[in-house]
Amino acid sequence: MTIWQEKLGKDYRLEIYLHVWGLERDPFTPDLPAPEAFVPSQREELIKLKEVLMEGRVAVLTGGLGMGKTAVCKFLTAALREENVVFQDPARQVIPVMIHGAAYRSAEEFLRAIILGLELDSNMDSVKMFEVLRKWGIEQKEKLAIIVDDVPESTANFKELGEFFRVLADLPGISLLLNGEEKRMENFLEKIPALKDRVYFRMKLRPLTLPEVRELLIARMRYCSREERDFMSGPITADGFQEIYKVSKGVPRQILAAASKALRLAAIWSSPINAQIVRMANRETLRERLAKIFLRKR
Amino acid sequence: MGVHPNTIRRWEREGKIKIVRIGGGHRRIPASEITRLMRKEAQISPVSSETDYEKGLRAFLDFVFTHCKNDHELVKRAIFVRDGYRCRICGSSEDLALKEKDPGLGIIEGNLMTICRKCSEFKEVSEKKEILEEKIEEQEKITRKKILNDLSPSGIAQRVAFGEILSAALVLNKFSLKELVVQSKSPEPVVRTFCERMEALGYLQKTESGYEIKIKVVE
Repeated sequence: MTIWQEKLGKDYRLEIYLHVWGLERDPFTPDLPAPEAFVPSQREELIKLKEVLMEGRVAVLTGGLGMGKTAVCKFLTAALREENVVFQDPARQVIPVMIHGAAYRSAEEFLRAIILGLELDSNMDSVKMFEVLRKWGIEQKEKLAIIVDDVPESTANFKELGEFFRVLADLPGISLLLNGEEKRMENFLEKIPALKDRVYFRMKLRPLTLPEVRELLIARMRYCSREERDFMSGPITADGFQEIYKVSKGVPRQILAAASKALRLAAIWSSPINAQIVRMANRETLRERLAKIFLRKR
Repeated sequence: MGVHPNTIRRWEREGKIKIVRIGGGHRRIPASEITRLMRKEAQISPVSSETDYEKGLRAFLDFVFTHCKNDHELVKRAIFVRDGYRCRICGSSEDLALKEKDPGLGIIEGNLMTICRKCSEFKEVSEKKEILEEKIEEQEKITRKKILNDLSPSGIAQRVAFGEILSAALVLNKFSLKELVVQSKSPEPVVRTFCERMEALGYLQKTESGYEIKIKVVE
């Protein structure tokens, strides 16, 4: 129970609504951490992405805003961590280190973040820290997968950073996954042709189709349900799915936002989530509409 | 006689001078007493180290702290004058304020001092810091490295996983097994192993609803 809930009480209408549909909690929160709830629409590409990380190569993941790039990174980190439990042989283990590019201002800070992510002592100079990574392939049996989220968001010098990644890519036993917004990532790679040449696999996230939207929402509801249940007949109706798809244009973050808003309105009206509820919940306010018009003109 | 009325009153209290009281509480000093005192004064001719300014200041302060204690503005001015309009700590003459050395003692001349706002804020912060540090010291301090070594992970992969779970546990402070799984995004078997080992080492305490961290981790 959060402090908010302690002070103000829970939203009982929503609780009852979720209970009626056999759900334990809100299935449409954006930070649902379980890899089970991830949409399995791009399975083949995800499998390939994981293979690249296990082989010690460089992969690049691009996509528009809210397309689930960070979710893919988190999913891969969680999946690799889970496999480390299953495979006890260190030669088959891949240690994922996920770092958020936007937080670091230089290549040295990236290096320190990687060392800290490996739970090693970071009280040494950058030469020694780099030495740890340089000898990784020789001294350690485990492979290392460095997953960098939002690379172009970093304020570091792109050339310096790109050179650092290129050197990392050449080291044995270390693989890289770089993730960023499509145009900015392209801009970043243009500046370092040596790194661009080393990119082995590229994956671009595209908007989901209607069946995929249905699959995503049902997978999430299943993950949050108390008992075995297929959510085919409710709480979201067939036209509800269609309307959510229409409102969100297939962008995962928008899908979840639209579904979440609709769920809250449906709880107040205690009705299934149909097209009308989705439309009502996601109706643009006058202010939003005006902002849109003015922004478009500019 | 060249002394302040307050001095006369003090002398009366101390029994140095005889005073006759007339109706309405007014005091009258007999002429014989004055001549006696004048003679005595002349005989002893006290060698005082105080200059005229210091004498005047003392008299002024005496007056303020006996009669006008409740006039805050006057008390403030008097202390400023005593301290020469300078902060007692840094000597700055800007943004001055009054500070009580010991808040329990109240308005006594020795308890008040001039201090500038910068110093007063700094003092407050440092006092608060001291209190906080004392509180933190109550808990046991252990480095992150030592905890991870004590957990004796099977390999570097498990060590990294334990590190991730430890960070999540420190954020939550009180948690159940499921909450820790969700927060750390780690597989349940690893989280369970982590909790069992931490409990065995005495770093975690089992409560009704889950676990509670018993240590303070420093980097």
